[in-house]
Amino acid sequence: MSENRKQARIATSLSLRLVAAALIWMLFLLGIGGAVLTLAFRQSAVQEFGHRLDAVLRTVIAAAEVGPDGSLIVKPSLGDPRFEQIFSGWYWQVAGPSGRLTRSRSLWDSTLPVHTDGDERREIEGPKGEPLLVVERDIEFPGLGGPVHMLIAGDMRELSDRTRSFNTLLFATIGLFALGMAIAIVIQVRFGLRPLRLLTDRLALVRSGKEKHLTGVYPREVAPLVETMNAILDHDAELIQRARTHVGNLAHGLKTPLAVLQTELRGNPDKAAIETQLRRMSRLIDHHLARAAAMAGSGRALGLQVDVRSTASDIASVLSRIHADKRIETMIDMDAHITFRGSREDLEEMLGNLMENAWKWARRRVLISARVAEGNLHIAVEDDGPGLSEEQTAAVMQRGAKLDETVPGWGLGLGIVADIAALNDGTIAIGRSDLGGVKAELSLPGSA
Amino acid sequence: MRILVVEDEPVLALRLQQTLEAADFAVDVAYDGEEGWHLGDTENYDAVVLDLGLPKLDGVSILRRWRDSGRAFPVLILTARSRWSEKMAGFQAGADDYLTKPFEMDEVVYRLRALIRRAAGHAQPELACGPLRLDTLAGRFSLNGIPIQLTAQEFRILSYLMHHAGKIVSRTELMEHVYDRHFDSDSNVLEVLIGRIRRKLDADLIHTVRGQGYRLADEAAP
Repeated sequence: MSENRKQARIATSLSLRLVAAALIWMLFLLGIGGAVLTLAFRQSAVQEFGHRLDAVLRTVIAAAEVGPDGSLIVKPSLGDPRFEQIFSGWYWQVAGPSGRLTRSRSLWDSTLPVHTDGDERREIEGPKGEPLLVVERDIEFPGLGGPVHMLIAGDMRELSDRTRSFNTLLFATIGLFALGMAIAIVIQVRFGLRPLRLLTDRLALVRSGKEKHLTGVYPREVAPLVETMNAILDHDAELIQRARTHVGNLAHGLKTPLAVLQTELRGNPDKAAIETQLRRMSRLIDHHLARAAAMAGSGRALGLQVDVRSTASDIASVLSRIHADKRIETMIDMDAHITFRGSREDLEEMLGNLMENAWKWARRRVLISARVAEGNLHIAVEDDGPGLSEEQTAAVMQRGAKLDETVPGWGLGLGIVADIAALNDGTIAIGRSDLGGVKAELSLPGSA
Repeated sequence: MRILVVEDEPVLALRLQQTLEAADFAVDVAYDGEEGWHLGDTENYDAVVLDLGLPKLDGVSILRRWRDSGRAFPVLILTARSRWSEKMAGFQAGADDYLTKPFEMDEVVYRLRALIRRAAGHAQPELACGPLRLDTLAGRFSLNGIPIQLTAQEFRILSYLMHHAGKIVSRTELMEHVYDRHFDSDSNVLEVLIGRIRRKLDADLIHTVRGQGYRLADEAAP
């Protein structure tokens, strides 16, 4: 549970993530650096200790001489009291060719193990368990008839004191360095993420209604987000504006028939007059509700792509089912890969309304075609019906106009299509088709 | 011809029932989704009027369930919403036609007559069997061009036989498609009615197939 909370905190804070990642990596590198330095220091200290022992060994060699009886004599004192002190950690040991052993007083009656294969340095344990560095060598003395094996050992505990003080200094330095770096990382992250904090503040202003847009200059990485956000805000504002207009128009439109009904009720109610007003009100509600509903989710489908051909043929199959008696011949003339950049609902609404009109008016044939020109998508819906005169065309494009009261939907449908096309930054044009009837052409931007 | 109306608004349901009964249909009414689905699943209807916004079970779900279990009767959906994406959802679930509220009652009758006729496999609005003709748009029979006066029950029987002309229709099938579910079925009544229709037709068109049922055909013998 607490593990989850911790994960959640790291996941939710960008600064925490950045700081944590940088710190972990830095501590890892510093740890490796410290270990390498400690090792290197110890190695060089051992080397230097070995050189000192070497020098002592050379003194022992110089102090040794062959006695008159042909035996090797080493002068007991080397001028260093530690060779005299028992088990001081400092020892020498000489083995003659005959196996006779001479050793420092400090060694007393112990013997150090001998390695005869050449001169080398090695680390062994002394008689008291102390760590020793041993340097040994075979020397030829004239008249002895064989090599003499000379060995000198020094107490390495002297080294540990030195490495310990070095390590203390080293880790203190690394610690300070890490602290400095950590502070630098925190400052760097805060500086780097400042545009995001700015964005959060500006967003709060937008939410509280003090600003309509996200203001300010943002770095390249954040700018697209801000632009998209502003586009959505604009779009929402436009939707709200349109919704307000519709509500206003609806309310005003309803007031007249309501007033007529009121006066009608005061006198002798005329049934026909009341029915006319009711029909009028129902039409108004239809008109505004349909357009408002059609617009509600329109035009904000970012990054969506809809296949035009399959949408058109789906709608065509529905219309063929509804108007089965008319036996309309449907032609869908477009490449299979043409897509509309927007939501499926928008395309269905636009095509559905246009195609429904075409089916209503067509005698035998309906043609749906699409092409892409200069990055714009053009979709045309044509029929071979009676067509429209210029005055009718002008009238049909007017808000709420109804061309034919007995065939509902012409003007209303077109109004909805025009609204949705506008929300998708597109347009609709009505003209004459080569088939003889109406040609409704949608032009929509940014399609492939 | 028997119709199921699934509509939760009581006033609208009543008006639909009255209108359809006036047009000589036998009508069952369901006031919520579950009841509607159950009736459509267990009874035999020639067509269904289905509201999409229903309590307990919505119209699209009902339709999908019926189609999944193989119920093939034509369905006219009623919707208060006029968006195409919603209509598409209805049609993808298996609807055959739609009407947007508010609508004219007569429109429902016309649409249903056309749906029933098409579901029986007739492309033309006028059905003919020898001298007998049925104008499905107006809902009227004529014999040699002269209108025949039929009661509602007689009309339903002859209409069902006309839609399935040439095929043998069993008594049970005929009863199921002629009476609503509250009617106490009695095959004697059916025989009496068939007898009356035969007299009105004044022609040997309805043939009794022994042990199987009736057949409407313009020929001397079955």
